[in-house]
Amino acid sequence: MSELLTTLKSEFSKLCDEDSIEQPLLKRCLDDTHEFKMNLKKLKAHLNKQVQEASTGEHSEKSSKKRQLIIDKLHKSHKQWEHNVRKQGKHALLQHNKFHKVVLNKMYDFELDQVYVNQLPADAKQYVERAIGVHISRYSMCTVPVKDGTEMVNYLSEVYDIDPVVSSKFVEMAQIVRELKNGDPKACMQWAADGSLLEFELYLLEAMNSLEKGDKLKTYRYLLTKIPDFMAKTRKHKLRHKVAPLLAQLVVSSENKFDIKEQLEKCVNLFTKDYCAQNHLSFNSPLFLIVLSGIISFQFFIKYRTIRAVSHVDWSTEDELPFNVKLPDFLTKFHPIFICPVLKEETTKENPPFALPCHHIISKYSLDKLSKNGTCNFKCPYCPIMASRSRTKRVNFVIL
Amino acid sequence: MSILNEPSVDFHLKLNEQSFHIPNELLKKNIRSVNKLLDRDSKRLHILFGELDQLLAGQDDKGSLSKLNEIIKTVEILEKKLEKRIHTEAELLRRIQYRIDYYNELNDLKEANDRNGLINWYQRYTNLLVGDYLTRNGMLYDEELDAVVENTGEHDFGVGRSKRRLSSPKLDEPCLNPGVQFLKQQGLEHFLDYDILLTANRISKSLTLKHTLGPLIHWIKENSSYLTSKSSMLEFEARLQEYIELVKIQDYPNAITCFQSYLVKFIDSNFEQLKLASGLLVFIKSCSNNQQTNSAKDGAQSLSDSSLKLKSRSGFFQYFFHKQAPLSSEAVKIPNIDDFKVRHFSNNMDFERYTNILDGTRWDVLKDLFLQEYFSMYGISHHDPLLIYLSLGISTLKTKACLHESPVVESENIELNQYLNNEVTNNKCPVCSDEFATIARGLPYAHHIQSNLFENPVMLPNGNIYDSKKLKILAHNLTNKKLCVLDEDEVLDPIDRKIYSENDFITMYPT
Ligand SMILES: [Zn+2]
Ligand SMILES: [Zn+2]
Repeated sequence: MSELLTTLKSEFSKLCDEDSIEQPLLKRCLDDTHEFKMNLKKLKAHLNKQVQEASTGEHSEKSSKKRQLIIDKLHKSHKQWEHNVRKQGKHALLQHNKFHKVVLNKMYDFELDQVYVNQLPADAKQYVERAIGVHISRYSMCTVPVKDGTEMVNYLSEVYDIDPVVSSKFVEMAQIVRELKNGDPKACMQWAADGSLLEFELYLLEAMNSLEKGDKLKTYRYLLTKIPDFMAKTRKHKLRHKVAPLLAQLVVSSENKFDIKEQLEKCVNLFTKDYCAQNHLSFNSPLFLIVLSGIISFQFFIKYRTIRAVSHVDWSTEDELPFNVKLPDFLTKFHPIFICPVLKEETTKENPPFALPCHHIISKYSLDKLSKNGTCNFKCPYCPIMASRSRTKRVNFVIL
Repeated sequence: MSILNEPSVDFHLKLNEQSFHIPNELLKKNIRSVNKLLDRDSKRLHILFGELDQLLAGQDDKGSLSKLNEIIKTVEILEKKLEKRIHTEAELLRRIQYRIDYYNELNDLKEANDRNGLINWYQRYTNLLVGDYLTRNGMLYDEELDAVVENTGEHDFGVGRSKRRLSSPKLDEPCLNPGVQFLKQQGLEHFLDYDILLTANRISKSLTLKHTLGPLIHWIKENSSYLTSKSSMLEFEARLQEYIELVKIQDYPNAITCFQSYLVKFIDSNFEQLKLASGLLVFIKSCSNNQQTNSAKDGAQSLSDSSLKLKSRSGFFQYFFHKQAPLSSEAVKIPNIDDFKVRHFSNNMDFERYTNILDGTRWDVLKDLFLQEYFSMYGISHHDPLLIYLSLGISTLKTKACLHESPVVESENIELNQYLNNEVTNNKCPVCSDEFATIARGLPYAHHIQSNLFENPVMLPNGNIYDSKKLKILAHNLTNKKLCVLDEDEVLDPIDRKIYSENDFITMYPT
């Protein structure tokens, strides 16, 4: 468990009474004030009664004693109220100052602005807004209750300048997802390719749905008609293994051990993936992928900033970050990266990779150096085979 | 535990310190107002109880009872006010609770090694940044701008007065800033203190779009102790603007009142500017006088006569207050407001300076100064966090191969071209995407220390190196889709779109 989070939780609980945010610290002030008011009302009634008694009856000692009692009670109530609310007000402020000291000061380490060394150009905002538009059209439409798709397309085109060709595809996707989530898989089923994994998972989802309604026989029949049909169409024979547990459950168990929500999530995910792929849309919005890379690299920027502050080193090269950030594979598969094993530098357009006759690869600058600008033969740095400039070949890595 | 090489939960908390800092500040502010309220009311109650005691002692029953009623009424009103405050307190606490839960979820996802869950979590995080950006930058509707003028209680203030319109009929569904709308759609409204950002946006836009000072002045009043502790120049600049606007509309009595009540106290720190400001009045006056004689040149002449008096500190005081200047520290240099120049008066330095001070770009300067103070007060980054993350993210992703169009040779087969362009050579790199390519151009590249290629690299005679398995799968798909006729041992190079034999594959060793 994160240390800060633990502190945060325990200190936060002190900002309310009885660990419940329905009981803020100042609630007691209110309660006391309410009680004070009720007391006053009660005492007023007593006083009223006393006054009436006094006016009808004679000035008895009992009556004036009663009056004094009421007055004392009024004073006491006032005093108590004031004492309590002041104490509570002080206490509340104290707790929040403590929260600041114990939690927030620990949490405060740096400011975001400090790492913003490479600021975006002034005209960046128009592009950022378009990127936001693409992002919103990719993820957020399921939550927008739009009956009319064209309305949404127009909105995205007007507000975010999103190509209607792109946004109308996203709108269709969102509509199918919404129906699926509302328990109607028809549109999705129609969209799914025959024999695809998606089709299969949708069958499973349907079966689970009907099983949950308790109709075992219907579910059994459903699977018996759909699955063999599906098996004939698909080449994914391994899927057979997935049907067995479900069938077993039908016969043996009375308890539902499957998770419909999870299955629905799976279908939505599969569908979105397939849909984006088929329509040449990126599954994750560029904005999301870049922000995620930003989050991952943030710690490195902060660390570097600290080192730089201490040792007065500058960013090593202007056009390259001075540190390496390891990103997960789905963020690095876009371009091949080749580091020249001699120079330890990434190859570029100016310094492209060349293959030696031994099929080892080095960069052009290394090649120039080793061959003394093509004037002599040289030994490959990685094997004993000799090479000459004329026997090398410019190569180009391509990711498929 | 790190799944994507993402930072620790602690680091995430540090990154988002402000999302706990802000509600706590607001909570403290709320408590302080409660304490003030209690202070005031208990003082009042003391007096009332004193009066009650006297009435009771004097056996004035009727008076006593009505005094007691007054006391009850006071307590009742206090109770109502407290109720409101406690409602605010609970709402602010709930914000913190939501955020704790959010980071707790991150903690659980990391501990459970739940990669998909983590990616979903980051999608929400991204949406929060988007919401933040839209709230800060999004347009505001007239209703929203008006609302702030009304809330400030500055109904008759300076130039705001002339700009205020009758409020438009209330709509059933108020138009909302797109950021707030977006956050609400996403169910993220509790995770961002959008009210704080919205206020910043409203006050800035009331300055730059409406040229209204009311909301800013109200904010300055509310936070004067903070601004004073920082010796901020915001109040001075705002009041100076107010004065300038009054001079502009030739409301001299109010301009002088504004000068005397708000600007004179800055005489020590901003003498030069004040000298200029007072000269401005003379300048405008003489200009409007000269409109009748229609001679700008004479105007300049008479101005420099009267402004001669204003050149010195004592002359200035004599002109404005008919008294001697107090002893003071050294005057502060005039900040360069802008470089706006009026050509036909360029022979006269004063004219140039006066037209500078009258120029509309001062509103932007004022806005920037306000935002700087506002954001630093709440510990919010001055730059849009989304832009910061984007700058970092682009550089982290940007490879040397980015932003270069790879030359593709089109074959004669249109369908084949289409398939290859869409499905095979289509680069999905976010840095190379239409939206980000332009922004990315000026940012640094990532620093790589290791090659990142693919399995089974083979070179074709044209020098292109592929994953041999993938090349064969592509050949298989092309044959299946009848896009291309290939022999069993043939492949198609998707770049030059020529057919090669597997026998020509050369296994490479890119170490
Ligand atoms: Zn070799
Ligand atoms: Zn790229």
